Amino acid sequence: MSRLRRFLARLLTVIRPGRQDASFEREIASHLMMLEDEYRRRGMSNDHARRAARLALGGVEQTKERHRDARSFRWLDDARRDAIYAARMLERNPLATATAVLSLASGIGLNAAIFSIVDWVLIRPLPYPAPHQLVRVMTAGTAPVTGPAALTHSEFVAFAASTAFREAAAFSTATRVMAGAGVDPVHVAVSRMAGDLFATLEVLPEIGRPFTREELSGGAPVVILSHQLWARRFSEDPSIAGRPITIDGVHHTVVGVMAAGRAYPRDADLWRPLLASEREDDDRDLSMIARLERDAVAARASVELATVARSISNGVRTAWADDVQRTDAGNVRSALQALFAAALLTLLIACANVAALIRTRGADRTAEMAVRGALGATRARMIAQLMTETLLLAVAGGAFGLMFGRWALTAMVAIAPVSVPRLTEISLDIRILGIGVAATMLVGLSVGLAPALRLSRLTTIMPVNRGGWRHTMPRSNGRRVLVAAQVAIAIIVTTGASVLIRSLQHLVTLEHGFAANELAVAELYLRGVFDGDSRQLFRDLTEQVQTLPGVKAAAVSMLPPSRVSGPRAPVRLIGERQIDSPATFRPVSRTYFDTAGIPRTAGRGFTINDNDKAPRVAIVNTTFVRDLLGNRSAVGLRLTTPFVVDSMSIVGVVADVTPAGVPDTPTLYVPVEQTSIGGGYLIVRAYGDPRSIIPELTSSLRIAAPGLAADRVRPLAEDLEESRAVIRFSTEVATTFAGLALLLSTIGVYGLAASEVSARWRELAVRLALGASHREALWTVIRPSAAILAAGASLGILGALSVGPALGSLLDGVGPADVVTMLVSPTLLISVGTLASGFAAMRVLRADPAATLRSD
Amino acid sequence: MPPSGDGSRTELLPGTLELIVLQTLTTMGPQHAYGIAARIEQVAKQSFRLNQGTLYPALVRLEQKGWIKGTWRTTETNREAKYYAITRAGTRALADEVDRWHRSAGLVNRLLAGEVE
Repeated sequence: MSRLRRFLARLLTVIRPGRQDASFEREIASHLMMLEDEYRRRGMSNDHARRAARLALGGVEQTKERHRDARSFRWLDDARRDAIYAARMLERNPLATATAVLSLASGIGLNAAIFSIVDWVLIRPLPYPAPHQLVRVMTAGTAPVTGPAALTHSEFVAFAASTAFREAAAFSTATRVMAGAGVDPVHVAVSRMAGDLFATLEVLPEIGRPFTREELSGGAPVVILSHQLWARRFSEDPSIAGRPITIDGVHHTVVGVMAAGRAYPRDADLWRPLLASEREDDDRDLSMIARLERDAVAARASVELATVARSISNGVRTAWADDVQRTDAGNVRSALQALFAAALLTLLIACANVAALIRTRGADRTAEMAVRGALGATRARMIAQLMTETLLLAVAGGAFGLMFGRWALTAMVAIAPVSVPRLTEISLDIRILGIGVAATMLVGLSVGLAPALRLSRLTTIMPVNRGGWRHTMPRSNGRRVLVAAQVAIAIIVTTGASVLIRSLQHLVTLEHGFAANELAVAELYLRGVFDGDSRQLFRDLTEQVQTLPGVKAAAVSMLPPSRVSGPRAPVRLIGERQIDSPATFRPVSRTYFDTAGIPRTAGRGFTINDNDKAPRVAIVNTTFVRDLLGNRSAVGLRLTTPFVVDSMSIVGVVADVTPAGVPDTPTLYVPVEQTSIGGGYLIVRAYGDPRSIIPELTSSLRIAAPGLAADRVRPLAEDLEESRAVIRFSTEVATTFAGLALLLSTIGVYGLAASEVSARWRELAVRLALGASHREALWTVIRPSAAILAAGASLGILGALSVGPALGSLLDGVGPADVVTMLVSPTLLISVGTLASGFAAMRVLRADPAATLRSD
Repeated sequence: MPPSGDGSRTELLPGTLELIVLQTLTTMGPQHAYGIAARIEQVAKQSFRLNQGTLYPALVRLEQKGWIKGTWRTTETNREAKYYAITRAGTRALADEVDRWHRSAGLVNRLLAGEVE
């Protein structure tokens, strides 16, 4: 107790040093006075008494020192003094200090922001018990080879029986329309589950109950809502359980609400059991998730799954299990890793700037250090004082960095692709704040220690009384190495960013094969919400919308032109054998091709005469002609498909669509008038920006078909943007890093040139006085910087070439060793760097050599 | 501190000064630093060498521990001085310290006696 009390008292004294000093002065004075009184009483003279009193006390100053030692923490007191002194030193050079602090702040801030994202997306365990046991199961074809695909229900049943799994479930998410008493019809993502998804994840609803085994196996009409849907559409009604709603017109009962952040898949609005009929359809549209047995590992499960998959598919399919978190992160993973690396590199450049600042400061202060050394300051004390200054810089950089990081994180999350998992949850948390501060301290120590040691060694050999101490300062190559390294790192970062920019440019300029930037789409989902004649509805809607101001054309299609995959129809040419691979089946209204801007290459389009009574017709695309017909003339050929009752004749050929560069599949277009579809898309072409017609379009949809959910109306370009989202995000963030890296390394180059000028000021003055031309003088100063820039650039190009392949998976239409970028970024850096050093050297031109020489 | 050539004077054992101060304040009541020093010198009868300044660190430590408390008052000779008084916690602590001193001194004495035999 008394010990703690004393500790606190000493701490308090460190913080408020002045008060007790004054009080102690008074006490000492009174003590001396009483001693003097005593000595005088014994008959000493005033002078003698004073001397004797001081002797008896044992020295006034020593007593004060001892008192100070006892009443406070000496080292802490020293640290406080050092901090005040350091703050004053930094204040004296505000520009350099601001540069260093802002360099550090931007480096630390970006790192904190990127690290937060990396942490949430790649590192932080999923919010389920024992998340490492959760795996995704995927299948692929082995003959022919196909990419990773979803599962059929029968595959799921076979895989779920694996001994490696404790519990397994599969789900398929599709858009449906939800309605009900007091709920406007709304499109919702419905996740239909086979097996018990929530039991696999080991999560419980926050309200209500989970599905029972009976409900799951019987496909009962019950749903669990997502927290978000519950909040948005049901105003967080706490008594939601038991409430009836309809999905596609079918009655369902809400039994629970899933907790926020626990739902899986994250984009699902509600869950219901898979129906018996859906199980029988056995569509390949299920995503499987399983929980491993306690001692099982994904690799072993994969072996078993592959065997099962082979045996149930006659040897043409395989299957495997992989960690859920890794699978979900997908190609965001490599993007984030690359960005994190770029952030770290940028921080390195910033640190080099701080190191350079401290070195220069140290050089300027050699004389002062020499004096202090001569007066008996210990090396440890001098190092401590220099370290304090560095630490102060680092802490200020860290503090600003965390502010900056908060801001940068918000900005990054705002532009991040929706495919980044857990995006809404990401925040700059305490742990990351801690890492930021720790990184700051590390930077401070590593940056401060080397110059401090160098300086303290110097002082022991430095003559104090020579004004020319500057001459004896040994030239150090350290700074040049630092700047060359900065340049090299900056080139690596800018090269990476420019490769990404080139790749994005490539993606942006890709031909879509249709007028992507003039189209708006409205989803029309009819099943259960509209029971009239859908063809009449399509005709009415199209006509009505066409009269809206700003609308050029309108059409209806089962699939938007931004999607090349869809229902696959097996096709048979009349009089010939079945064609091997099926074609994508696309019912469209007759105005579709003109509205979407897809050019016709042969035959005719659909007309008003191609109605339900008329002979069946079809239009195929170029890929169909090439892949399925072997480039024969298509017009006039007749074919059948199970999707259309009668045989059809091909009346025309249209060009392929290539949304965001994705190649088209063989496609069979049929008129909506001659088939029946349960929904689709209203495609509207605007004069100019489609955003301008969206409000009108939405309200006219509401009026024309009040039962329809008119909540998904958007520019079609948004869909295309989604496919580029990851690369766009990486490019934007990487470009920021590159800009920063360029700026920071330019500061480094400038600083080097400026110190070169200072160090050789006298020499330059002499040269100029002896008649050297300004150009020669300038060149003397610029030459070392140019050499360092060249060395750094060469190193940087080598570095960029060796780290480039890491970006490979992110790139499209451009290689990691792209020649253009390999030339652009070094050229940019060298020119900016030379400019900066030239700028620093301009001082030479303005100087009056005579004045400089006189000043010595 | 320069060593004194005077071999007849003894340095205090570290830590004992606090004990002495506490005991002095208990016997004499509130006293200023000079008064405490004078009392110690009187009791020591020249056998201990005391730099009066060395009292202060001990006083600070005791005050920070809350065992003594200083207040400014006027002396009989009309001088201003800081008077230290032992607190209740100080009285308790003194009992403990005295006890400890007896035990450690006893141990040292017994050991030394053993050596001599």
